[in-house]
Amino acid sequence: MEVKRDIIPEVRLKEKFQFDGTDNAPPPLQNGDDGNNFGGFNENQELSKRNAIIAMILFLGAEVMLFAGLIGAFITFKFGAEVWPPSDQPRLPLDITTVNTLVLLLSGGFMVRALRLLKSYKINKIKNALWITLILGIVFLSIQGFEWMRLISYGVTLKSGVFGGTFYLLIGCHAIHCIGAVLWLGIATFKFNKSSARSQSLNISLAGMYWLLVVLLWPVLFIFVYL
Amino acid sequence: MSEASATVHTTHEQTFVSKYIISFDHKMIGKQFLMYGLIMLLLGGALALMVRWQLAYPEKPLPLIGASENYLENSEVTTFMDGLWDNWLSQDSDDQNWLTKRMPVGIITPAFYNALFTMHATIMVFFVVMPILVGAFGNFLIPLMIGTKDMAFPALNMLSFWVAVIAALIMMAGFFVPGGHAATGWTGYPPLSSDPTWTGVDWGQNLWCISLIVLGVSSLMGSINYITTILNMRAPGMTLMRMPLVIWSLFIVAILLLLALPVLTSALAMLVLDRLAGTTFFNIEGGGDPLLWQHLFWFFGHPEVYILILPAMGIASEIIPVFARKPIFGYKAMVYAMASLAFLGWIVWGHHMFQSGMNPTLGATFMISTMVIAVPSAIKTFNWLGTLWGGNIKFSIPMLNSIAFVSMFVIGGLSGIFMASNAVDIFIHDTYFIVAHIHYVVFGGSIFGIFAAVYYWFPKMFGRMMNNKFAHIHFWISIVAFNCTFFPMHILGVGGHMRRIYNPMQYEFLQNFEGMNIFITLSAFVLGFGQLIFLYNAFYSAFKGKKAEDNPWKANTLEWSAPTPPPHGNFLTPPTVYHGPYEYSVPDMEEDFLPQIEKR
Repeated sequence: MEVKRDIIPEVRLKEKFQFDGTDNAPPPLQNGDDGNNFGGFNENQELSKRNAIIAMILFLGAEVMLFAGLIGAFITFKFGAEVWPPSDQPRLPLDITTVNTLVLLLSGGFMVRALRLLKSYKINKIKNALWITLILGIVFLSIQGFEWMRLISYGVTLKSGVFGGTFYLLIGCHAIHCIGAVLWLGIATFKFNKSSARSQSLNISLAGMYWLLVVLLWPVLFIFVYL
Repeated sequence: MSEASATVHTTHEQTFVSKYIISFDHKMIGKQFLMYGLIMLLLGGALALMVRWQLAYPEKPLPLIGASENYLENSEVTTFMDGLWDNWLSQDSDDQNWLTKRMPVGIITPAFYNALFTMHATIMVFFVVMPILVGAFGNFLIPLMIGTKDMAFPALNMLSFWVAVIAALIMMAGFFVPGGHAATGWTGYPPLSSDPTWTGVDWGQNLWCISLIVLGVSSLMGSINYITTILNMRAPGMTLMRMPLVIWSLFIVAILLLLALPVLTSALAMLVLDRLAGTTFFNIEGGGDPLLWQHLFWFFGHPEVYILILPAMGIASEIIPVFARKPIFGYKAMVYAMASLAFLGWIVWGHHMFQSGMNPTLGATFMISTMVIAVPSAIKTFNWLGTLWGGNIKFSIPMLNSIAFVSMFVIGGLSGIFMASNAVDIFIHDTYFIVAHIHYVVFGGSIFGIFAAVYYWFPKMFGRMMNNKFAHIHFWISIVAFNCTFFPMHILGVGGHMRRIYNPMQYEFLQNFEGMNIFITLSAFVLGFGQLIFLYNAFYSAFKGKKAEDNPWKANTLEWSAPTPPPHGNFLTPPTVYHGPYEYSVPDMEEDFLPQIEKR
């Protein structure tokens, strides 16, 4: 009779008095199923973990569509223009950004390593990979910020025509995502240790997926915007 | 043991706030969305009636709140409103109130007229049809019909509603800012929308953009929740191909919302930056391109059309088999037709832009892809007819509204084929033919779908039946007045009556349409006031209606196997599904229906 302990009293009352005549007995309970788990939320950890992963994938899909809109606009301008970049605008810094791209890709590589190790419970190795990921991410952001400052001083601003406008919109949108991902991943890494490994590993996976989106979007932006 | 559990569960007792306001229960959130949509429906309808008044009686004072003829001609105060207007208009122009600036003596000004039709469309699309069909019925039905306790993320669900409320408040604030509300049509084409100098609208348009961005966040949360729930939370035995068609339609709509709205968000972000930060994305002088907005907007906008109609299709597919007492004709074909509609929705956006100066070769491509849409639409229509054929039809109220949906959708679909033709579109583009088409699809389609759904699921939502007599009166007024309102618009359109014009009487070739315009307006008023019967019926029945049984329509789907109204957690015992949802009139059975939870 243990199995019914969690059914709330009002439901039990209804069950008693409103069993509407049909004789379809409830299906037999599985092992370990206390009868309160059907399609359950919260009770079933595996289920909510899978829910979170699916939701994250869907969210990343929406993000990709947001960038698709912005990239579409950029392509319209770039290939519609006779001269790109416009003759009165400075070139974008190609060399340092290429190096920066490699930095970000390397960071993505360490993220993949951390995600692969996640199930092995080698806490120190995971933490090292995560910290390297984060440091490389912050290096990427710093170089980007430094380059932005230089571009602004050369006269590339939001108001200087569509060249500046699309540049800051597209690259700025990526930078905002990058900052958000670094913060999330940083907090998740900070909380991740031996005692919390089980509960925090989902958080690390989600933040890692988000970071990988940021990493993988960048080469696309780099090819369109800088090359 | 039972005492212990009783004490544990007293902590679960809900206060007023946690039960009705910050509720995590999908059923309550569904009801909240329904209320929200119905309130906005009243507002959107009122705006439409003001637009209609201006078209039939251009530059005449509105009834009830306008001044009398006598006052206009002789400045003599005869009625109560005359006195008020006289008083208001005698003040300095700076001190004049909201009404006097927008409709002095009750006559709608051109600027306010533009805001009226813009906001009518915006409110109806984003704040009525989407919240009711997707928000209300999506939330209420998905967990009940797939046999689970609640959504995958109840907290996200609650947030999604309250973010939608914030979006509505931002949108409403636009009515009260200086310069008036957005006045560029719901499509917001630049350069009209990107530069305040053209319309004189300043913060109205900004708030319009911001509100839609916020609403996009709400829809994103909702759609992630729906898809995750449907993919991962189905009851044992509920395979994808055993899901009721309305769940399929909501699943497909959630995917469309998830992928289409971010594109609108990107376009809106550019528009806001153009207006506030001085960028030139849509301004030719700065190297921008106004056509870009149209491409981005309609890349979102055409999937949006399917977001509005697909749930109504699902609802009709759900109701018709129940009242024809027959299995749905071609279940798999229905699913694939909806999926292909959703896919085709992505590659047809250019048919809104035939007259925009787009490359004509591209126009031909879009024409062909648009015509292809007729195929899955016809599959659906003929499957509904096939379900009705030889059925034991009961003309109950949900059934009448569903049949009205099918019929009106056919008319709207056929006029769509005219417009898809590149050559014909040159003639009817931006005329009332387009207005007739959109209203046949969105009012005749989606809103009749909403009526059918409210009548059908009301017993499960509120535990009471809706009043049948009022429902019949409402249905017959709606269907007759609807056709009287919108069918003549086809004729107006072919006669060259442009949409969005302030005063048709200024054009010589439109003057002989005056009678028709007056007829349309009178029908529209009947239609508008007919909806009050529906609202009265819904509110009255929610409190005082006849108590409903658990399964009043003798339907198969899982929600009818739950108690009425369903308790927190929905089902008394975990449901197990043994077969598809449309097993009606099964041979060799005593009853003519076989609920999904019962073994054959």
